Amino acid sequence: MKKSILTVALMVVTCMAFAQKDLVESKSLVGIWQQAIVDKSPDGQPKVINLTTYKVLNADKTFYCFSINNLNNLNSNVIHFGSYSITSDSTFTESVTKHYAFPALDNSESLMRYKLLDENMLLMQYYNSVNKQWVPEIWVRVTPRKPVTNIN
Amino acid sequence: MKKVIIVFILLIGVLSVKAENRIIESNSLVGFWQHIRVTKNGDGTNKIAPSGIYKVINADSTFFSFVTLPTGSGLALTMFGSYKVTSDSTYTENVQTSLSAVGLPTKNNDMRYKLVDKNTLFVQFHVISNDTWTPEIWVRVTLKELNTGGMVAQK
Repeated sequence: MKKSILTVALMVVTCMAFAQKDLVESKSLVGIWQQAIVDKSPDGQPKVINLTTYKVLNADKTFYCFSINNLNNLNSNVIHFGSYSITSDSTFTESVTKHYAFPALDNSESLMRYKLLDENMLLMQYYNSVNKQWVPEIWVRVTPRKPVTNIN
Repeated sequence: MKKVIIVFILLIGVLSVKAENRIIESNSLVGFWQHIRVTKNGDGTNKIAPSGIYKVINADSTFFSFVTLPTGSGLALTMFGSYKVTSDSTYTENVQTSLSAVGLPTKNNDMRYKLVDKNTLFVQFHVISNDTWTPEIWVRVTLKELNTGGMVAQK
């Protein structure tokens, strides 16, 4: 019995260690993502513009979205949270537990398509059932890096 | 062995279900925290402002920190590791990786903490070199409405 408890404890600790590594050093859908849009530079070249919305997809299949507004005294909010389930190598479903901005989305489920353009760039589409359209989003991974200077 | 695997699966299931609510709707040390800097105004009164440093303390005894970048290029993930609560007012951070510009230690840090209220955390970390306790104030990032229209492009 003692041996069994030790084995379970060891397995749980190992899983936790991997979970952290998965989130911070992940090369998959799991990770910390910043939303972006693609605009055109004056010279006509595509230019990625970062938005202030972030999504954390945890290894334990939970997620949350938050916003940090650099232009408004670092106003920071969690926008919505829930869980997700990967249904294929290019699709997953998001189950929103609570959505502050759109309460109608509380306890709702969204169909999602995704494609990793490279290990740090994610193309996502969510299905808008009202318009019956797939709406694209671009997300860029937040990676470990040394900041040159902090904001203050 | 079969029993061990079943117990393990059950444990992981319970931990996974609990994890989500504990991070966002937590009233404890677990949560999503924003660092607050206290400075002095010209008239000597205190001025409170966010520093741009954030810390996510997960329910699974891991944590990570990030900072906002002045260039508007988003966030830099600066520190991650694990932690262990050692009493109702102390915990230890085991820093696995630290990329902070301010040279925070990359080892075990002894921490004191007190929840002033459910959304305000007073922390002190022990600086071994001069045996002092450095205070920090953190405010919980909570589920609330965006007052900026949602998505804002960073310049």
